[in-house]
Amino acid sequence: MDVDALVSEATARIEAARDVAALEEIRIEVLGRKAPLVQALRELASLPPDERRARGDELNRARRSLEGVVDERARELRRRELEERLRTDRVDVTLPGVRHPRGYSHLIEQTRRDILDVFVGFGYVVVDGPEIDLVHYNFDALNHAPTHPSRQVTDTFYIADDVVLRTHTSPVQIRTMEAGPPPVYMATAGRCYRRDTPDATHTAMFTQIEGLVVDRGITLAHLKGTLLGFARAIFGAEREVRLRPHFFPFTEPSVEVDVSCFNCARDGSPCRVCKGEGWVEILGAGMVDPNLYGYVDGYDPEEVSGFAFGLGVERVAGLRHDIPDIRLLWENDLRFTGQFG
Amino acid sequence: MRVPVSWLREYVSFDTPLPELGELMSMTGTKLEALHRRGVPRGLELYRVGRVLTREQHPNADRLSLCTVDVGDGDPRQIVCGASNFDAGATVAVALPGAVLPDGTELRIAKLRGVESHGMMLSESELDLGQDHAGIMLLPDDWSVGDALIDHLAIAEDVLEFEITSNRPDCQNVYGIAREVSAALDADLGPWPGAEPEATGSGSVEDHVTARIDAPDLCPRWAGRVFTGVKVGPSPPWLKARIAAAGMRPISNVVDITNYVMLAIGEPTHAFDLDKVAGREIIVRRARDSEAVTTLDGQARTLDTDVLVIADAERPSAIAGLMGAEWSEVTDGTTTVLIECANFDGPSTQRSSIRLGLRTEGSSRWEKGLDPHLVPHALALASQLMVALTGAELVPGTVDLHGELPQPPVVGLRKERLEALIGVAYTDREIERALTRLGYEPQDGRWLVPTWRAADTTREVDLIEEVMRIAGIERVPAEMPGGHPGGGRLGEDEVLRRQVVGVLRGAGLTEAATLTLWDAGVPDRLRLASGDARRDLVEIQNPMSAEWTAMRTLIFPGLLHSARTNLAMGQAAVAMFEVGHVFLRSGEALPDQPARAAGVLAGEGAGFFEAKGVVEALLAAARVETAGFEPADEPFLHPGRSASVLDGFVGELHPEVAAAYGLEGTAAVFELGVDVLRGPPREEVLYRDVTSFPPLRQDIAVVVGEDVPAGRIVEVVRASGGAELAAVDVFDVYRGAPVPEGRKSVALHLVFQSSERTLTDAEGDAARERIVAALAAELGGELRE
Repeated sequence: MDVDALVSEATARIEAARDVAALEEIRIEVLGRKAPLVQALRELASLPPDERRARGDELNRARRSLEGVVDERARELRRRELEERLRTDRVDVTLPGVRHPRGYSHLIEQTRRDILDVFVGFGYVVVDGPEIDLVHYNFDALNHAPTHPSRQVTDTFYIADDVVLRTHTSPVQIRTMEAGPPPVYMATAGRCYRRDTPDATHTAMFTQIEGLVVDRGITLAHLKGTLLGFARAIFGAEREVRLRPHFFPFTEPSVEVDVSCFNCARDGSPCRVCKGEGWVEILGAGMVDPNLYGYVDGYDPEEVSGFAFGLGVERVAGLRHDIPDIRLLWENDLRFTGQFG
Repeated sequence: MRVPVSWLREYVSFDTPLPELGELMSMTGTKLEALHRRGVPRGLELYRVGRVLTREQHPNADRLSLCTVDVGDGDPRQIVCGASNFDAGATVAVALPGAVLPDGTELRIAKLRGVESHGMMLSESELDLGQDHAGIMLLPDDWSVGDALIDHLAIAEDVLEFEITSNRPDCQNVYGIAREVSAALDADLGPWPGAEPEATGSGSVEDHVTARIDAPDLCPRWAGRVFTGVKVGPSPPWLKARIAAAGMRPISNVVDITNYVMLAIGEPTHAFDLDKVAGREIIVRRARDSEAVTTLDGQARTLDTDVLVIADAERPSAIAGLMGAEWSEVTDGTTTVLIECANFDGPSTQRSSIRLGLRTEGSSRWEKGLDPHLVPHALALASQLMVALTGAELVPGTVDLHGELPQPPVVGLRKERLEALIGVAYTDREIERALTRLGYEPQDGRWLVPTWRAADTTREVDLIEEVMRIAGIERVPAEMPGGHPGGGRLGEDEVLRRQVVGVLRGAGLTEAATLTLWDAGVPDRLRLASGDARRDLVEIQNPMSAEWTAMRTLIFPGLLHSARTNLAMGQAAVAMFEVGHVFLRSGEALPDQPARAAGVLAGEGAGFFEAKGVVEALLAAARVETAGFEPADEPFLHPGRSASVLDGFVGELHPEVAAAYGLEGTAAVFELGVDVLRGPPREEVLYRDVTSFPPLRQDIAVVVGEDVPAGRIVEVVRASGGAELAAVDVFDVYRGAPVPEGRKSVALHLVFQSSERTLTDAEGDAARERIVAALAAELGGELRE
């Protein structure tokens, strides 16, 4: 048997194997139990001892050589097959993924969170308050004269003579001061109710956010700084605020607060948001009227002072997102909610 | 409040351009709402005082006349005119070709029935000065021909419209606004309008009228004067122009004078035809119960004893502060007039106004409370005008009934307190200037409040506000306070709310905001039985509509509406939730108002187990591990496909309820209290070793009777599994061969784990045997191999 010829012929066949299955067939032929080479190795014992060693070395070298070539070819073929598989196993990546259910948050909730988070950052504690409240908290302790027009049954929903659907979140001011001594840095959010005929800017049910600060040395300047910070966080870092003197029963002095228009800057056309004034009214505020401290214990107006503010969540949402009619917020149309969540 | 600028300038002079003035007023507390231009929009030079030189019949038209009119430039114009209330020699208002009328029409040389007309002689209504369009306006003969009409008559007027806050009734008049302008601009304010005329009438007022106040609580002051020889007629053009520019309708000289006094200084006054007052007697009293009166607007009204009236010996001649009676009205034939200048109680006038549904310019001033010291000013101004404009003679004397009038307070102002509250430094001069411009007078180091501000300024802080706003609110800097020493935080309720909202959104539900208010039919639609606490609605005494009459006791019904509308709009599946409050009667003044979370799944993929999965996600997030689901007995849920859990429920809707809400197909809902989702406080959650020793897992399948709930199997496994049993999960239920009819096979994963050692298979087997034995003993269960 010409071992060299056998090796070179077998090597050529192995290297020509087209796939793993063909390679395996060849391997069995040249290295399997019935292969001439293996047969020859098995027959070594029958050779004379002086030939046995040299013949054995020759045959083993040949076998190792062929095994090496088979392994090499097998690796090569597996690599090619993997490449081929990866080349052909392709998906249309533009098809949609497997959908997971997705829920959207309501725009009122989002806006409410955004605003509350600003005040948490300013060091406020968020509390909750009842939507049905006593006239005492909604009007009396908020310094509303007995004849104040907002007490009228044309304006306020009554449950009993002394119980109303709160008309603002301001009752939480008194409840918070009742709950503990100053300092107070409180923010609250919730539903309020007024007998307003619904239109694009009014609904009988609406969401308000209230803030109250009572501490030593609190000034109107602190109110302005706080609201400037709020306006910039919510309406953009370029905003300015302007206070205008106004009147509310539970603050003195009282102010209305305008924010510099964020719409004009956007497109430069005659502005439908601020009507060309450059300012948009966003909330009412003021220094806590000292009469309020008379309704709670532990607050001496000679020692502490404070400010309070209240704003409409729907109005802020409407301004921020260019919503023409806030009644849309209460319709729960998923096509609407899905735009914002 | 509409303030004609020419009128305003009578009391305070200024050069400030109007937009700038408006801005300044807004920034000092009197917000400018609008700046109107009334009357002739432009081209005022084309409006002249003219004199009719000739008047002849138009050759081709019976109803037209052909006039020549001198307009002062030596070139008399030929004008065709349709009016007939004048003759040659009349002084008239002329608009020349090119003039633009208040209604926007541009005047041209026109041919009328073949004759050219080079201008127009104007009526009041054409100039927007009044209603009179029957004839042209006849001007006083001492007006010089050729003068610009605007020099005599406010044919063009800028009107500032201000928003007046409810605490400032003193600003509901031109003089009050002028005072604010004077303070804002630091300009001098003119004297109070009105100069007492000479009383030339005969006798004295007591000879003409007697008066008494029977209800001093509702009428602190009543004053009146009598005018004789009154000639009722139209007001002069200037008066009509002012009344109209201020937004009222000119009526007659006497009525216009009363309105003028109100608009000028804020005191509503009333004129009576004294000859119609029975017994010439004025009694200010409460109305009798069911007493009837027909007011000037022709409405018959029924009064009650809370309504104040001005009566004569027989009947009411006016509802105090609101409106006069028809029968005592001043008419063309009136010659003797009683002018009333009184002070009525604000709240009671407001009550009457609401009760009678009668709100007038007068009542809107009275209801905010007016200064009783206005009366003398009003009397002077009214008297001056009555004498000047109606030819009347003032009868000497004044009826003026009042008790002790309230004296305004004297209030101290500490500069350091002012600066501490506003955060701005002020000079003494600034403080003094602001307050004196507003009418405050220094008195022994304190400030005497002007009478017209007595109700509104009683405390130091009220003076602080005055100084702040007049000295300039723009000066207030922006500073940040320190924040709570304990740091800002969301607070328990908000943290919990956000956790619940987050889980539900993560579970694929979209948040909704539904109405808190229900109509009365909701309990029936939900099949709530009588006696169910959720039927006992907190009702609104004064609902706006039949749809909103009571507060909700459950949240999910609102979501059913949203689900239906969204399905109707083509959504294949709807999954929505809301976190909010419900309202349950408590026996106390305030109802219980717990927060609850509710959800609805409707359309594709909606069913009991889908909804239960959402509830389980909520429970897992809250670490509520032991909540049991029991078959529920809720009238609005499918009895076989619903469960109660904690203080709530989950299940498919009862078909009748689904139908009542217009939902087709299966809809599942859940609702439970947010409080039960609070979970253990974070600081109570302590470390357990779950990593050092591996868990031992075993699965078993147990065959039980069909009536044994899976939850019961889990309970038995838990009770018997020993301390190392860490978890039990049902993962399969199988019915059919070889499991006998009437029985089912329930497969469970069991996990055993110890935090102290690795458990051996033998320990696991022992626990498994205990469990199998307990299942056999308690539930008749057999292990399925």
